[in-house]
Amino acid sequence: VYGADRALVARMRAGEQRAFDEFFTASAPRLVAFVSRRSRLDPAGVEDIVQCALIKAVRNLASYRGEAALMTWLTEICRHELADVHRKAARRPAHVSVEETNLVSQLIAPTHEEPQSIAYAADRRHAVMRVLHGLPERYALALEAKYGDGLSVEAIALQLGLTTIAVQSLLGRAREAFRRAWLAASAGEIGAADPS
Amino acid sequence: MTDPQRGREAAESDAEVERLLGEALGVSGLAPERLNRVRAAAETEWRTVTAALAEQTAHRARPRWTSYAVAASLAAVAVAVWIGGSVRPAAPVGSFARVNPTGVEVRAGIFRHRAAGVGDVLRVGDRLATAGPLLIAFVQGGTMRVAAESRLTMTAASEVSLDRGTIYLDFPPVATRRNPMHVKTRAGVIEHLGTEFEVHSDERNVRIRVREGRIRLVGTTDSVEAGSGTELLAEPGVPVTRRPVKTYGQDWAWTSEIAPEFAIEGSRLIDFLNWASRESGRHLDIIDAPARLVADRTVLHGSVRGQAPDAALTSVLATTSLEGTVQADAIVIKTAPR
Repeated sequence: VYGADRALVARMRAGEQRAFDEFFTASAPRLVAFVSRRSRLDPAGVEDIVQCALIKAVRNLASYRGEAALMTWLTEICRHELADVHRKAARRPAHVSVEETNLVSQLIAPTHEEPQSIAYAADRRHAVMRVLHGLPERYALALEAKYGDGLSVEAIALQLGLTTIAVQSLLGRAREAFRRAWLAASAGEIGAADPS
Repeated sequence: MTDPQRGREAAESDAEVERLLGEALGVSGLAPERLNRVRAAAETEWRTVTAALAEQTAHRARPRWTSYAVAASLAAVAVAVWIGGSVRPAAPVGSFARVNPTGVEVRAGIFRHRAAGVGDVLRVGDRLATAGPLLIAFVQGGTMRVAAESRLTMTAASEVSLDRGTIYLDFPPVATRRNPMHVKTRAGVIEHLGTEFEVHSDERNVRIRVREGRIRLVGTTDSVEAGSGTELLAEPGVPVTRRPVKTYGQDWAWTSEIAPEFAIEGSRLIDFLNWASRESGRHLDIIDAPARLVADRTVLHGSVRGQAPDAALTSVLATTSLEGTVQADAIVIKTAPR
């Protein structure tokens, strides 16, 4: 099913420059989007994670056996990198000396105040991601590929190893599941905000 | 969720679910220079891995070869090196961040040549012939703008040989400290000690204009340093002459056409203003305290992609409570009257 991905990896392992170019062009922007959606990291943080993930990927190309789409394999590596970052962040001490120069400058000069509309957009994004995470993974991946990465049905079919008809059907079910979950989450918040 | 009622309304139909998902899942990508750094790191690792793999394979196969086959292979490799410049391309030193549609031809080795597009990699040994202006982002940080009708060669990761035409280098101080960029010309070698300068070379002489920071020219007869606002004229065998030059205005207009794009999404207004100031060669003057506060606290959204710095400045200021005017060597920002 993932013959094209296997062939691409084989060409990369043979040292073909064009294969690396195809690999990078197809995967890097999507990994950036993948990490950005799942974290509140700044661009430098996103850059670090995607770079580490791609380095690990090219280092371990031999372990890619074509049992899943190459993109799925790469997002798994990214997921581990993200988890590492979160683990390390959790281990950091809660209190830091204010004598650290850069921290003092941060305290003295808050960089900016975000307008309400920005906060709303950010909240909305995280609310959508929360609902997506509550869906079966296949639904979430299909919706993210279609509406986040802007992939065609054909491209999603290749990635998920399905026919285009199956993907259309999957997207229909995923949208319906998302709508129900979104409405339920919204209703829950209305209930919480207004018990009467 | 901040506004559940809106969320409920937004999920009434398939089209609205699609809109909601599109708005929430769409994210802006990394700036080209960040993506270039990621690419360079991944590509370097890939080269190391594939080189090791090739070596292992050769090592395993070697006992079965006859000495004749080994000699024949070596001869074939030598021919390939001679024809193609190198069997394995050199490590990337940068990439093409902007390319004018009129294009650029890149040559590597004796016969290999290609037309470069945005995102293509630049390597040591590449020879460029430009029909239109272009922008190169270096892996070590910093950029180089190349004017139309220029010819140059990347002779090393931090050395460019300018045969003809005009280039403009802009390097952050950190990149300069680590690995100073050198420009070789027929009138001498220019070392980048600061941040921004232009070099023009033609059949008569070499002209260097320093816009910010300092450079050192090691010429054929003498070695001179020059700071911001200085122009040097150098010819082989003739002492270097210098004169003052403006850091703004029409002389620098070509550099604006191909300037690196500023990703305004999520950036502070003050950072954008500083960028516009550097790109125009004029200093930034924010004349009232409320304007300084607004510049510091405003976070920008959207895009100024495709706009030259001056046009971008006008577009961005139009969305704020500030107004700006260009006065000779300054961009003056103040609170707009209500």
